[in-house]
Amino acid sequence: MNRLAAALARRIVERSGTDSRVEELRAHLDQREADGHPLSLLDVGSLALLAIRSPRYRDAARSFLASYGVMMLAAISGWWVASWSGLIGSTEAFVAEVFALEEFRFAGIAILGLFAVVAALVATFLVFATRTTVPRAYGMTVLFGLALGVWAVASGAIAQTEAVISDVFAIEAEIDPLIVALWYSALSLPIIGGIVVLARQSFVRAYSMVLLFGAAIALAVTASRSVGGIEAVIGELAGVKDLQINVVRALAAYAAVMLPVTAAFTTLTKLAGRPLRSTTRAVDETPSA
Amino acid sequence: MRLNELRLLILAAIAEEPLHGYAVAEEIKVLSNGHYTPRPGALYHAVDKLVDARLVELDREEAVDGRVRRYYRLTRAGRETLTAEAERRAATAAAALGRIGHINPAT
Repeated sequence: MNRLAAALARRIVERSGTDSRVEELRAHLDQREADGHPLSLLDVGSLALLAIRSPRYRDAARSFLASYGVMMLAAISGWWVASWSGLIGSTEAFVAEVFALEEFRFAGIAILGLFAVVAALVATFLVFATRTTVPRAYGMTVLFGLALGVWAVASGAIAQTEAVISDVFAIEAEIDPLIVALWYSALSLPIIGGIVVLARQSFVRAYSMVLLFGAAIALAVTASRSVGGIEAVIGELAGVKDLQINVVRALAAYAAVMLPVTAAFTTLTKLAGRPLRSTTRAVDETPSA
Repeated sequence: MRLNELRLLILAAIAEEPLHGYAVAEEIKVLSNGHYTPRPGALYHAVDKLVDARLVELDREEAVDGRVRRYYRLTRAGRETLTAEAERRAATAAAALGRIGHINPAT
């Protein structure tokens, strides 16, 4: 336990803000070790709290709170406006009619609670995305996927998922973990890479890049004569016969949808990337005479 | 600035001479008769707060075995604050002991 605590303490100390503070804490731990006073887990905890309070992590915490606060404020005010304008009521009536239910009511608190959890994850990811590089972000995504995959195989979650898919879509579902892992690795690279790159752009540049990406996909789909195949797949899934996709209209719809999405994304990444009030201060004071 | 137990002990520890962080922790053990050993994270956070409040300042940095030790000393304001706080606590302790008959403040 003592060796584990010492290893943890040194790992935390390496990340404790300024270089002089790191050196100071190393000297402290060295001396303590030389004096034969072992570290406890409470000592490690206190060092972790010290690291969190360092300017580096304090700025990240403020950035997290800023982006999380904006998301929650938007959700609460959006919900209130939707209730006040009757949109919630009409949606409830629509859902009840579509699914032939006697009555349907949204559980407002539960939905906001779920949003609060999702927003916390999104804010954490944005704070991370604005402070890392594409290789690191991709590496962590792959590691996360690997851990999730191992857990899914070991816990039998894959078999349960197969059963649910078979039940819902009335098909014989069979999940090959290797194929899923390959798709996950291939798809997460452009998605995570794109988010990390876009997180550092202004709105104009980010929106231009999003439009260019959409145009490139449209061009590739058209040039490869894949429109017919996509029409067939979507038509089959949506139960629509002879679906015709107009590529120009689809691109215009994509541009319209991505405009507010990109605006919201760049606003949140600005908040997540830069704290409202910088707390970085010069800790490396020179000794006064 | 409000002085809690740890901050008061840090000021007292460096009242005679500048000390580095580890020596401050050891001195606090002596001052408290071994009853209190500050956790390293709490100690350095308290030192930062005292530096921010200009009660403590950096005296010098020394390299020992390739590691940099930073020595802290009391400022004039720090000494005045320590004196005032120690006198206030001593008066409170004397009054409390007087109530339970250990000391008679009147004598």
